[in-house]
Amino acid sequence: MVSLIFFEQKRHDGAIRTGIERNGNTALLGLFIEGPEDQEDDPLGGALEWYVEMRCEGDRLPTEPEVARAWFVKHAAIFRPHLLQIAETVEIGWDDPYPITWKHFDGMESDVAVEFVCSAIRRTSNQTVSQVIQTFARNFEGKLARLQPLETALM
Amino acid sequence: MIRRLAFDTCNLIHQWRRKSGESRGKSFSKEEVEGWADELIQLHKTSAICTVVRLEFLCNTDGKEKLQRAREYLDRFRVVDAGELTRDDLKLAEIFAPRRVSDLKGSRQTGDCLIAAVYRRLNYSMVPTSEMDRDLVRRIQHSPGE
Repeated sequence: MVSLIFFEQKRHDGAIRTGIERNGNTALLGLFIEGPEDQEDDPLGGALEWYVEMRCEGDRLPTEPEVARAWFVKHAAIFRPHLLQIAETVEIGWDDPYPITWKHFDGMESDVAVEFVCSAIRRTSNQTVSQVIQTFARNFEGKLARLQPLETALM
Repeated sequence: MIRRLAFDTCNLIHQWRRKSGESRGKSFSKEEVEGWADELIQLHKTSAICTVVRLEFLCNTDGKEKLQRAREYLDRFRVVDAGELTRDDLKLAEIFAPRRVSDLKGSRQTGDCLIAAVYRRLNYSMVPTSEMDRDLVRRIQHSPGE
């Protein structure tokens, strides 16, 4: 079984981390943008304000970086309408505790399990979380295109 | 590996309290507490904690049976610092210390600084927490210039 996670995280120090991880221990591709704020002395700098993740599991999922990128791009059209629907639901009102999870993606191959997960600190407004999900959905392919091989991403 | 999520103590405590609250005062088994841990791990797809998180959790536990259950719960998590606290961790924790807000409990503030220092050294980000939420609200209330 192969698991792939396409994720984006916003840290309290303003840094944004985006990437694709395989099997929970290998980063295939990534992009690490430093935050604008000087928070070297802030103990909360490394705490996440939110994250969004597309978690996929299946025996036939790709294991190589570029093939994994292409796989997510290929499935963007399936994911996007569902993500926008989730964003709309959150904006109207989401009273359940985080994380938000969603497992029903019409049109997916039957041998791939997909779960969207979004978590945020509790003070984050529904509108902000909705905006985060919308931006992730609308710029899905663009975010994937900007990912770099790990060696470059960490430099 | 850049996803690198790790838990703060309050994530573990929140899950423990939520699940033990559902058991309405009944005692709980090893399998139950391990299930609570596994649920949290599955939810965030990480099992990473550091030694200070483990210690803080145990410090919040009383009673012989609960302590045993707490250890079984904690054993499901992976301690990523191998039980080591370095001199640089302590130096960084001291830099962090003045930024802590004074109305939080003293012991928790010390733990916060150490946890943040260890996770920074190991390049982990902390899972979003309600504790951070509270602290940010306090910080805004105590921001300079008010």
